[in-house]
Amino acid sequence: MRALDWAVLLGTLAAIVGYGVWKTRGIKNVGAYMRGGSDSKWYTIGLSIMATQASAITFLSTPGQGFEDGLGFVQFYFGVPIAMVILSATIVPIYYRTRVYTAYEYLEQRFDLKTRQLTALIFLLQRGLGAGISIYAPAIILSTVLGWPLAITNLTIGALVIIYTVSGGTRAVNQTQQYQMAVMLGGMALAFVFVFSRLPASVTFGDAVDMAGVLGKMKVVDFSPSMQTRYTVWSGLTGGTFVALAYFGTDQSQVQRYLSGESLKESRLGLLFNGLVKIPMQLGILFVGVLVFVFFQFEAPPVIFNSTELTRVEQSRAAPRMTALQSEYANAFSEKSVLVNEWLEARHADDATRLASTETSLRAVEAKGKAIRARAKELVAEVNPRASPNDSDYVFLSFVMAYFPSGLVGLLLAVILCAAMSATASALNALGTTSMVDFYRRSWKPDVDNDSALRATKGFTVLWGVVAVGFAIFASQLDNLIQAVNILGSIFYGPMLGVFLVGFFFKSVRGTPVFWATLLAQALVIAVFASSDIGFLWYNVIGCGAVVVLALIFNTVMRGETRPAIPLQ
Amino acid sequence: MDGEDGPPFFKSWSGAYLFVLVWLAILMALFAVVTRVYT
Repeated sequence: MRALDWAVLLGTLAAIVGYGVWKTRGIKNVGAYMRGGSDSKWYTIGLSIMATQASAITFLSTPGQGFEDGLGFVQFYFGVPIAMVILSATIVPIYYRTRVYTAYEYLEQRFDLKTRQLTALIFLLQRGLGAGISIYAPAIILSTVLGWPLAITNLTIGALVIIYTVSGGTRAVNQTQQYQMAVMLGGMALAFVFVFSRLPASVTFGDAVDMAGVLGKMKVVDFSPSMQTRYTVWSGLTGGTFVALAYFGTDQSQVQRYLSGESLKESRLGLLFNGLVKIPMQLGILFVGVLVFVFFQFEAPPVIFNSTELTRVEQSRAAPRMTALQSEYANAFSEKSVLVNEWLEARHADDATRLASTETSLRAVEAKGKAIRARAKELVAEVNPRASPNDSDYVFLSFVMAYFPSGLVGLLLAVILCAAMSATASALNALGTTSMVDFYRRSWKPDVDNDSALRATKGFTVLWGVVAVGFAIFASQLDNLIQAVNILGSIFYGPMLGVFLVGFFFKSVRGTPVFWATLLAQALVIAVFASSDIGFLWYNVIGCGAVVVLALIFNTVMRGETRPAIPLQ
Repeated sequence: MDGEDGPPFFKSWSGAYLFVLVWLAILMALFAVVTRVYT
């Protein structure tokens, strides 16, 4: 990295962290600390919601997914607009009416304390781990590509987030996220323009898209009914809606964002804004990966992008096998280069017959290259079984480091670190608040005064920050990073959503039946995860459905008093 | 709390919700066309 990159990177981070601390200095009221003064406008809420969801993994793994598998991953987000509408119409008004600080507070009003604290505990476990992953995931990639020590990278990201999250609470998180989101969107837009500008002059945008299509990267929607295919229209619309309902409706790191709204109207608008913008944004990020793929039709790509693992293999006894694979891969690329040029000539000459025959050959040589790459990945795993199994996570950052000009490299690194910080900040903010509201103030010290409560909330936030950094430092290798986070979420989110749905829509169901239904449904989802190959988006549907069905059954066989339901409108 | 306030540009929240869902339908239709044309 050059001096200009360091200046851009450090300048951006220092400005955002400094602004967050300065703008929110002197908060003395614990309510304002946790709810941000209840004065956020819709655009702050909307950007904050988006920045919370957009972790660094979004900007590292997503272009990699575009590079490897094309645009199909966007189907995962089809449920977001639907969920935004459902939440705006149902859950958000209830949260406003019941004046809660956390989503789980509502569950005590509706059911009982044990149901509230069970769901709050599930949240703490899941989000605590999630915060660790949101630090660890970018840290491992940044360390590999840039040669930074992993522990130092983890500690730096963690420390920067802890500073402003602890200092300014919810308002600091929301305020900084606006600027972090601006850096992220601006950085990715520039990346998009730059990747395209690196293509040969004779290649038009239409050529690039068409070439990506020929090589299977433009398959956005998949209507197949397979339950095993991870991303289809159906899994996106059903499982994706359930994930989004659970994530945005019951995960305190998101609920806290829109509960900071000036009014119900601002909160609803912020959610709907997210519903409108989320899919195009994700598609744009995936498309950057597709353009990188097109770029590597003209420039020879490495057979393995994770340079650390490649070097490890090259220094092992397996080195001759890797050299052979590299040479095979280089031959396949040369063969492909000839075909790519022929294809371009045929396309520009409108020669349909030649185009069709070249496309068939191109697909065949592409499949050959993919097979060689798969064998190289197997070799990496053989030499180091703990190596990250998904080389595609390294594609985008390796590309940035190798081809981006000075200054833009620093900006793209700032994008990744801003994303890591924004997702982690929301998580720590919510973990601190939930620890305070649902456990400390509720069960341990109900008569705690304002100053002590503020100190304790800050203490909990620091504690969760330390837990997250600790988990990040000791995290073992995980499957594809973005999918690991989504799978982790899906295991817990289904039952969590089920509890809230029973609370909202089944007025006769009492606390004890729903409590036991949640525990059993959670066990069921974990059993399904451990014993079947069903796509992970379906866990949400199964977990949620199991809570609803079991709660209704238990409610008929268990005796007890029914609490009056809180009406939807 | 001004929870009953309507959204800007729309007469009611139902209109705003419908707009978001129609937007999703348009995006999905566009994606289906892109998939059909390019694969």
